[in-house]
Amino acid sequence: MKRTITIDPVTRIEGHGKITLQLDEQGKLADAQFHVTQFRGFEKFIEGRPMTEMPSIMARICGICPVSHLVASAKACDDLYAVEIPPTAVKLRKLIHLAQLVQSHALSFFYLSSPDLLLGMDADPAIRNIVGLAQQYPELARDGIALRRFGQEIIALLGGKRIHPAWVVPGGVLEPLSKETRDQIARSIPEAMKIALRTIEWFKPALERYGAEIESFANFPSLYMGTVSPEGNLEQYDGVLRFVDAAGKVLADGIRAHQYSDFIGEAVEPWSYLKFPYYKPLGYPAGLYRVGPLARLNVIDQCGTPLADRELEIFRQVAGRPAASSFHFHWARLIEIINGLEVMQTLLDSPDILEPFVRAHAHPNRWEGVGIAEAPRGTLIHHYKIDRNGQMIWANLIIATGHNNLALNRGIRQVAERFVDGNNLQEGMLNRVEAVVRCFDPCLSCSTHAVGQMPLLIELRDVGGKIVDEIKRPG
Amino acid sequence: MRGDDGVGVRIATVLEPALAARGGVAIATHQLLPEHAESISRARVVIVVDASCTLAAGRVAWRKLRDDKDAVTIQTVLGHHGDPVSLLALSRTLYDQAPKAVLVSIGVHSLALGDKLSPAVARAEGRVIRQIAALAKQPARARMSTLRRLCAAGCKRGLIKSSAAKLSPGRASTHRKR
Repeated sequence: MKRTITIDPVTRIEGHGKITLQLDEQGKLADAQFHVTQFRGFEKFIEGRPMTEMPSIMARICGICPVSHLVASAKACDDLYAVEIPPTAVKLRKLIHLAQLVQSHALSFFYLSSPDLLLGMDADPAIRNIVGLAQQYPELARDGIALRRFGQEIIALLGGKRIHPAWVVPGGVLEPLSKETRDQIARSIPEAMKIALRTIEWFKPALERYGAEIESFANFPSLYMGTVSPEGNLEQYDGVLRFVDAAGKVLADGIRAHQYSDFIGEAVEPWSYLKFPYYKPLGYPAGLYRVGPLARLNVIDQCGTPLADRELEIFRQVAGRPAASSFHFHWARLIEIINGLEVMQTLLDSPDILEPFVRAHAHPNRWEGVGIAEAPRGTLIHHYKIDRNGQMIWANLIIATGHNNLALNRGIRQVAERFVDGNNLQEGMLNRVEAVVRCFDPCLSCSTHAVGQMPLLIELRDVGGKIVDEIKRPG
Repeated sequence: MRGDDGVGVRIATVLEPALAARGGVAIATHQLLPEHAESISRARVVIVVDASCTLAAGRVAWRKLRDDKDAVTIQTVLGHHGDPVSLLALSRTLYDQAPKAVLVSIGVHSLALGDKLSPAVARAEGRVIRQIAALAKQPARARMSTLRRLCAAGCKRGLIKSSAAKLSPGRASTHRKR
């Protein structure tokens, strides 16, 4: 008898999604689907709005990484203006963007995933969360809070508020950096670095406990995409796109923003609101690729900063190059935090960081503009078209989680094949299915991060839809 | 954005300079987060101001918050439904500190989209601002006495019927540094 297991909602992720596991007559996995069950509609309802409003409107897509949307949107508007923004504005945008990367990675690692890592995949879900973590590992919980606060405070210092700051605008940023703010940020970096280094030193030996998860958490050959600097270094703000294959060979390099659609196609499936981007030259679905921290470390030559490069070397020795297991997203996040802190220090030390010229004022000079930034979860693409009045007539957004959609589905299938026994359903099995999703840190709604506040319901249904078994997790 | 729901944020914003001048801190936030536990742990007294759907429009109720280490739950620490008792508990768990804390609830009239307060809530806003500003000027012992009196008055009038007063999103907290 064919049966279906539904995990709805998936907990400790940002947004609303559910997983369906279809079992065959023997209780073994027949198919797996990750459904994104919410619809936002930003691409449609911005039509007719002035392009200058786009950064502020698009930032509302996400409460976790609004700065990435701000930056990608502002870059698309810079492109519509056809201007080169002042060098100091570029540095300030990078600064706020990296602050967001640190706080977002801290949220993912400490708040959402470390309970699995520290308390165990099979631990009681009632304690397998940040609260259980706080009670058993208060130092780690304090570090998580401190690192997230570090990033949030820098965003607030620069942008005026933690969430949806309107500081990044078409042409640059609203205000130059004051000496006081620069010094305040600089003073906070050493403590943040201590936390990041302490955490990675704890994490590396802990990996030994997760051999089975490393082996089966979306661990398969795939392509990877990310942004690299002209030197081939890790780059979150600018640069060009690079694709590498499962062997680490560069497939395509130097892809500029306007060329993205030559390499990325978007497919749709009737069971999800999230599109399925793929690498065009290989077609759908063979063109499956991954983005985000793991992919970025796989496409770059090096990080470009000493401490992060030291960690990258160890990462590549242990995890391989390219690293195929999505479990290593966690490790990659920690390396990116270290790199982000090093780059922030360098930016603050730049002689022109306090320069007053931070915004180019212009009017639209092109019909079409594309802005790309590396959000914490991966490459973020904003593509706009305007009319002669500067009003939006069309937009296409490809968000990080979208790029990973094919890989997410394949990863869920892989982990379910390994851990889920339909004849003997256990909570820990299903948590591993959720945990592979958390590796990618998907941001589904980008505005609600319903973290464990809804019940998890897993239903076993027969072919006629009748419930034959269920596990309920209280909200 | 949600009319009277913003009353807590408005009060914290108005009080910010006055509290800062007296060594206090006002945090205007639309959401309580785990990060606030660290701020709370450094305070001697915390006053949380929030809109309430259970009180009549413009009514103000002061209530002492319990210090219960076991009150912290995942639902109330992470997500959009953070509550001050959980944050106090998190502060106690992580930093071994939980200050005296009071919740000031203000009954709302309208939560429709808008940036204006309804007249009754606007009057309550002014009253709470004056009360907190006056508290900030008092010496520590007198302040505690005033807080006890305000909380007792709330209970006497039956404004707080349950220890789990419903909270709506959008709140502000003020506290004095240790």
